[in-house]
Amino acid sequence: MTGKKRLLPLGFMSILFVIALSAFARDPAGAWDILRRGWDHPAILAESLEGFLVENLPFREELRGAVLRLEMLGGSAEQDGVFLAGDGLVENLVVTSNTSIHRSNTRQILAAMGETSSPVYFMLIPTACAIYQDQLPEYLPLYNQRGYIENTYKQFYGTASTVDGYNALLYSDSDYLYYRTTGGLTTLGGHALYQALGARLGFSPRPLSQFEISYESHDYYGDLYRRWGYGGVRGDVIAACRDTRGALPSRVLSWERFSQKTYYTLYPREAAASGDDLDMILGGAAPRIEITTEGGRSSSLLVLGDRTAVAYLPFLAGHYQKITFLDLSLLTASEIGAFCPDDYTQVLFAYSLDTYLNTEQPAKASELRSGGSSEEAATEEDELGISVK
Amino acid sequence: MQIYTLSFLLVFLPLTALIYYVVPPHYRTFVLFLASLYFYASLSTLGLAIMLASVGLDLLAAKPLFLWGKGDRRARLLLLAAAAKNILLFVVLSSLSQLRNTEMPLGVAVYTFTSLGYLVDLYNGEADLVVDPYEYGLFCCFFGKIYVGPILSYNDFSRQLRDFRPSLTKIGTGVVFLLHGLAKKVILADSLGVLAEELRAIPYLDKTVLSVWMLIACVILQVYYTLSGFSDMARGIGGIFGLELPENFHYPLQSESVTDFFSRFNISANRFVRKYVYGALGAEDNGRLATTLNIMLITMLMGLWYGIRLNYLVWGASLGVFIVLETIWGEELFGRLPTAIKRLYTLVVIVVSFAWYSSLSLSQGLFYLQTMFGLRTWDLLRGLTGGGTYAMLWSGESLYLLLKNWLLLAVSLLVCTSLIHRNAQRLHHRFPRVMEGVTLVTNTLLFTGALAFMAG
Repeated sequence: MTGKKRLLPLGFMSILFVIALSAFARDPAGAWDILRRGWDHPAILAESLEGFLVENLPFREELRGAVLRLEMLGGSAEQDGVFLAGDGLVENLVVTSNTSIHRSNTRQILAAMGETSSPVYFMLIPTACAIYQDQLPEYLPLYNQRGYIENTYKQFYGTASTVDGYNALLYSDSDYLYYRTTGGLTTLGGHALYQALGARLGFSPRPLSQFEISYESHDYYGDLYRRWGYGGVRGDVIAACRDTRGALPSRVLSWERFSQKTYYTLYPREAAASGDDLDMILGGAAPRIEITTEGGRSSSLLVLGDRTAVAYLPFLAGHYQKITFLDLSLLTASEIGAFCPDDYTQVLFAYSLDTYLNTEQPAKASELRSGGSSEEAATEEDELGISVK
Repeated sequence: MQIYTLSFLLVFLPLTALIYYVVPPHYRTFVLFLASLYFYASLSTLGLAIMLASVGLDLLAAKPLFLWGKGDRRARLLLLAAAAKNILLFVVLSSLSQLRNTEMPLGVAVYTFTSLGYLVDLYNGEADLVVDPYEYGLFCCFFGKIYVGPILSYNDFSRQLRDFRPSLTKIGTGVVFLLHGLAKKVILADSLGVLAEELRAIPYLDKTVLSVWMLIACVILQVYYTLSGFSDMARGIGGIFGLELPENFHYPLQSESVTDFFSRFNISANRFVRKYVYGALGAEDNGRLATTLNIMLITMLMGLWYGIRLNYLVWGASLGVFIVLETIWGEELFGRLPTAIKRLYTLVVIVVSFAWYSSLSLSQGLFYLQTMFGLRTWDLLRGLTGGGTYAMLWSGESLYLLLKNWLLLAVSLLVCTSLIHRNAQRLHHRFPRVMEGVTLVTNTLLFTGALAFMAG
C-alpha cells in the first residue's frame, strides 16, 4: 500500500470528525440538550441524535439538491407526487379507491338540488394535471378527469345546468391558468371559468381587456414548491383584475367562526399580512365569503364550493348584488342549515375534482335548509351571529 | 441507531475507533464488546437482554462440553439442549415478528448460529475453550457483523484478536469496504426498495407481465444490495478495528448454475448449513434418494434463514429442485453449454424462484408466477385446452416506472456483475497511478453520495 493510501483511513476518520463537529457547532445548545436528555437511554439518544445530525448536516440542502438532480438525470421528474412541468409544478390527481365518496357527493347534491326552487348550476373543475398533461412525463398514469366529468354531468341533466369548465380551461391551456408553485387557479384561470359560467348563468362575461390587471406579488412560492424541495421553478405572480368599465364598489365579508373581517375591495392587500400573499384575493379562503356590490343587478348567487372559487368569484362580483360563498368543509351542520338556496336567485355547486373525488365535503349540501321563510332563517342566523341578506 | 445512519457513521464509529486505539491493548476487546452492547441497546433493550441471555447460556455450556468431550452422553444431551435453545429462539422470535407484523430483533440468526456453531465445534474438538468471556461476547455480538454475518469460526476470530497488530493498510481497506457497503445499502438498495413498493402498489388487476418482472427484479437486486451491503460494511468495520472478516457475497447474480448461486449467496450461512446439517446427514454418500432429500432439506433451511415463512421455504425448495437436477445430471446437461447460456439459465431460474420470495403468501406467489408468463386466471384443466385469461404485457404505469427509474436499474444491474471490478483491476495493472486517483475520486463520490442519501 502506498503512502497516499495509508492516509486514507486517517483522512476518512478526520472528515467524519469534522462533519460531526460542524453539525454540533451549528446548534451547540441543541446538541447539548440531546446529550443531556438521552445520555442514560441509548435508544432515545440515538434517535434524537440522528434527527439532529440530519437537520444540521453541513451542506445538507446542496446534498439534497444533488440527489434530486441525479434522480432527474435518471428520468424522474417527480418528487412526492409533484411533477416538474415546464417551469412550474403540477400535482398528480390521486383518487381514493373508495368510490362511495364521490357517489355519495353526487347523490346528496342531486337531493339538495331537488329541494331547491331556484335555478341550480353544477361545475366540476379539473386540476392542473389534466389541463397540462402534455407537459407531464410520458406514460404517467393520469386519472381521466374529462371522462369522469362527462359521466357525472349526465347524472345532472334535467336537474341542473352544467358548466363546461374543462374545455374553458383546455382552450386557454397556453395561458397561465394554474399557479406554478401551488395547486390553485390563477386569476387568468379564474377568468377562463368566469367566461364559461357567464354563458350558463345568463350574463355576458367581460373580456380580459375590460379589466385593469395589476401584479400584486411577483415572487410567490407555495406549498408545492416546498414539497418539491428543489429549484428549477419560477415563482408565481399574483394578479388582481379590477373592472374598469362600470366598476362598482364591492364589500367583502370574510367570515370565520370566531372572527369576521370586512374589506372594501376585492383585493385587500392588508390580508397578505397573514404571511400568504394569496390571501390578498378576497382576503383568502374562508368558510363563508360574502361579496356585496352596490348598484349591481338585483340578483344574488349562492356558491357552494371549495377554495378554487377564490379565483373566479371576483369576476362574478360585478354581475350580482350579492354573492355568498360557502366552503362546506369548514362549516358545521347547524351553520350550513342557516342557509336556504331558495333565498338566492341562482345556486352554483362548483368543486375541483380533487375535492369532489376525495372528500365528503360536497355531500354536506344535504344539510342546507330547504324551503322555509326568510324570517325563520333570520332568527336562526341571529342566533349564529351571521346574516344571509 | 443503525450502521447506515449518520449517528453511527459520524459519532458512534469514530468515537469507538478513537477509544479502541487509545486504550491499552488488553482492554481493546472489552471496549469493542461494550460498544457492541451499547449499539444493540440503542436498537432494543429487550433484544439486548435476549441476546445476552442466549449467548450467556451458551457460554455456560461451553466448559462442561469441553470437559466431557465428544461421545459422552451428557455432552451430547447438553449439545442437543443448546441446539434446541438456539433454534427455538430463532423460530419463536421470527414467528412472533410474523404474527405481530413487527421487525424481528436484529441479528438473531447471526448470534444464535454463531454460538451454536462454536458449541458443535467444541464438542467435535475443533475449537478451543473460551478463556475470555468478553472475547466470546464479541465473537457472537460484534456490532459490525450483527446484521447478516459473516458467521465465523471461533478459533479464527480469537486468533485475530490475540495476534492483533494495528495497520493503516488494514484500516484503509476497511474504510473502502465500509464506503462500498454503505453506498450499496443507502443508494441502491433503498432506492430499489422504493421502486419495489411502487410496483407492489399497482392494483392486482392492473399488474402486467412487465410490472411483475420488474417487481421481482427489484426485489432480487434490493435483497442482494441490502445483504451484500451489510456484509461489506461488516468487513469494513472489522477492518477499521483490525479484524479480517471473510467475503459473504461473491457476485451471485452471475453464477453459472443454481448450485453455484448458492455457494456465492450468503457464503458463510451456506457453509454453516453445509457443515453442520448436510455434513451430519452424510452429504452425498447415501445414494441418489438420500442426496436428493438432503439437498432439498438444506435449500429449504437456507430459505428459512431469512425468516420463518412458508414462502421462503417454497423459495428454497424451488431452487433445491434445480440443485438436485444439477447434482444428478449436471455434467450431462450443462457441461458443454457456453458460459453465457449457463448464466442466462441460472438467472431465469433465480428470477422465477424469487416470485415466491417476493410475495407475502403462496397465492400471491402463484399470481406473480402466472402473471410473469402472461397468464391471469388459469384453470389447470381448462388451461391445457386454451382456457383462462391473459395478463397484459405492459401498461402505461409500468412503462412510466421503467422510464422513471432506468438509470437506477441500469446502475444496479451493472454493479451486481464483476465487470467494473475486473476492468478496474486490469487497468490498475497498466496505469497504477491513474487508477489510484480514479479510485480515490470514486470513493469520495460514493461517500458524498451516501451522505446525501442519508440526509435526504
